[in-house]
Amino acid sequence: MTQNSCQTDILIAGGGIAGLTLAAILGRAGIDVSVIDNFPPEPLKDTKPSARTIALMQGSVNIIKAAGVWDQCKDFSAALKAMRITDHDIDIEFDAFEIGQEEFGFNVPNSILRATLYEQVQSLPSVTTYIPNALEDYKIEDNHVIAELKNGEIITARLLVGADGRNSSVRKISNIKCREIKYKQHAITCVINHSNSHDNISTEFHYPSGPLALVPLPGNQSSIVWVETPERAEELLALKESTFIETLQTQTNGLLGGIMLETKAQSWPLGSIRAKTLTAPRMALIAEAAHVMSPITAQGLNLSLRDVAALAEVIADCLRLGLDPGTKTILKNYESRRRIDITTRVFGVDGMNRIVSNDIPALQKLRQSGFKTLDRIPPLKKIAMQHGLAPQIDESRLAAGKPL
Amino acid sequence: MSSTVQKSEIEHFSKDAPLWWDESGPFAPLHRLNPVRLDYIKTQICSHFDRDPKDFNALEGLNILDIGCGGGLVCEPMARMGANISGIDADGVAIEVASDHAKQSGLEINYQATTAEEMGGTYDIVLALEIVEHVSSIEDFVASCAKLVKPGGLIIFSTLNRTPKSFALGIVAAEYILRWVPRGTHSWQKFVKPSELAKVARQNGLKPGDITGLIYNPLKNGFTLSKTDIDVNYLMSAKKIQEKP
Repeated sequence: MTQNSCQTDILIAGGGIAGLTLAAILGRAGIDVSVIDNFPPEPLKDTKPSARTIALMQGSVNIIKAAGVWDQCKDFSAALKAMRITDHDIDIEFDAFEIGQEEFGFNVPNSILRATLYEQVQSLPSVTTYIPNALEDYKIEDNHVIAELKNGEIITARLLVGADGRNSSVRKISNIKCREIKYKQHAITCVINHSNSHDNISTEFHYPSGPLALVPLPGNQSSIVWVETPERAEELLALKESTFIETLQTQTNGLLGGIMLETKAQSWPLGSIRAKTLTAPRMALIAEAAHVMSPITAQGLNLSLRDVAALAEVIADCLRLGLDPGTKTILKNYESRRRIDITTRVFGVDGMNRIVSNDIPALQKLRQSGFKTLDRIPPLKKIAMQHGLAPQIDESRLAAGKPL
Repeated sequence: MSSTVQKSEIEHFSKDAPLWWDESGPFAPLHRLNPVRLDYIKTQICSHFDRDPKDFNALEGLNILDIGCGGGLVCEPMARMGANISGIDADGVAIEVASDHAKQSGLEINYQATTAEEMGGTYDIVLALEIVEHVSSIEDFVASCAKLVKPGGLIIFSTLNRTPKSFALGIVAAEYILRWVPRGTHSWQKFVKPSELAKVARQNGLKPGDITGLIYNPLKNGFTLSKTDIDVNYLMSAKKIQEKP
C-alpha cells in the first residue's frame, strides 16, 4: 500500500445527482464515504434553475428525502397533477387522482437538485469530497480498491462506485462492455415563461419526428423537451429567438399563450446505452454509468435513483452485519436487485421511442389504437400509469419512504 | 478432558484452508450462508444484551469466542461490529490464513490454534457454528463450550438436523449433486437433532431459547431463516443460567 494514502469505506467516482444522493444517504447514516468529481456546482444561493429538469416520481421524492434535501428542492419544483397526451386527433388526460395520488411527482431543475445535494454532502462529517479532481486509474490489491487521482493522490477503499455518467471511466477501466443505440434524434431543452397557467398539467405532443413535452415549473414557467431530427434541431437552434418562439407556439398549439425564453435553447443527441453488467470486483456501477435512456418518459433519473436506493440499502445492511461491502456476495445482491428494473426500462423506453417517433402508417395506427384502448379501459390505464409513472418498485425501503 | 477433535476431520478441512476467503472456492456455500447466519447471531445478541440492531457498532465491548472459526468468516464481521473477538480452531493452517486475512483487513482478532477443551476464560457470547456435527463426542464438546460462557451469557450453535431430508439435501445434494462442499465434508450419522442438542445443553447449565431453521432457496441461490422448517440446517441459542448467590 502506498504511503500517505487516504482510507475510506465507499469511494464514489462522480458527484452528479446520483453520486451525491448516494453520498448523502450513506453519510447521514454515519458511513465513511468519499466523492470525486471534476466540477463543484455553484453555491445554491447563486444557482439558477437549469434548462434540464427531472420529473421526480413519488419513490424518487422519497429517496431525495432520505438524502435530506427535499425541503430545499421543493420551493423550486412544481407538482405534476395530470398528464396530457396529444397525438393527431387524440387528446388524453391522465389524472393522478385516478391512481389515488395527489400528484405523480414533482418537476425539479437539475442544477438546484445538485447544488442542494452538494451543500448537504459538505455538511456531513463522514463524507470527504475530492472536488475538483478526477479518477485516473484503479486496481485491486488484497481486499481493497486502490484509486489514483489526477493530482496523484491515492485513496484506498473497500468498494468503488462508478457514478461518473455515460462516458464512465470506471466502466472503461473495469472493461465492462456496453450495448449502445444511437437514435437519429436530438433533444432540444429550454425553460420558458408563458402567459397562460399550466395548471400543473404536463403535456406531451406526439409528432412523427419525436415528442415535444411541456413540463410545469413553479409559477408560469415550464421546461421544454423537444425531440427532432438532428438536421431540424440544428436549424431550430440557428433561428432568431423570435422565430424559434413562433415555431414553438405553433408546435404547442398556443396552449400556454405568449412565450418568452428563460434559458437559451440547447440540444444534445439521443441514444440508449446499457452496460452488460453492473459489477466487477469491488466495483458497482449506478445511474448513467450503467444505463442511458431517451428522455421521453422522464424515467432516466428515476431509474438512477432506484439504483442509488438499492445500493445504499445493500451497503447499509452489509455494514450492519460487519461484512465487507466489496465482496462478490454483496455485489451480486445489488446486481440481482437491479437487473429486471433496468432491463425492462431501458428496452421498454427504447421500444416506446421507436413507436412514438415513427411515421410508418402501421406503427402510427398501433400507437393510436394503443392510446385509445388505454383510454377506454380505466383499469388498464391505471396499471399503465402506475407502471410508467409511480413505479411500484420492489423491495426498496427508501423508495417506500422508510428509513435506511 | 480429552479432545473432542477428530483428526480425520481436521485433515479434511486443512487441505482447503488457503481457500477459506475465496468466494467461489470450496467454502462458497459458507460465504452465501454468512449474511443470513450473521443476521441471526446479531439479532439474538442484540435482543439478549439490549442493543440496537441498526447500530453499526452494536456489539461494542462484548467479549465473544468463536469455536471452530476456520478462516475467520464470522470473526471479522464480529470485530467490525465492535466486539472483542477471539477465534479458535484445531486446524493450525486455518488459523494462519485467518490471521493473515485479519491483518490485511486491518482488524484486531485474537486467533489461537487450540480446542474448546484447552481454551480458558469466560465470554459474554460463545459461538459454535457448523462444528457440532464434526466432533467425536457431542456431550463432551457441549460441556467444554458451556464452561466458556459467563453466567447470564449466550451461546449460539448452528448445525445440521438428522432427518431423511437432511440426508437428501445435506449429503446427497450438497456433496454429490451440487458439489457445493467437498465430498466427505459431513457424515449423516453425526448430525444432531435439535432435541438431542437441547438435552445436552440443559445438562450443562444452558437454557435453550430460540431455534430457527436455515433454508436454501434454489431459485434465489440463497439462504433464508425459517421459524417452521428446521429439517436441515438450524441455529439454536441458549442462555447460561446464573449461578444462585
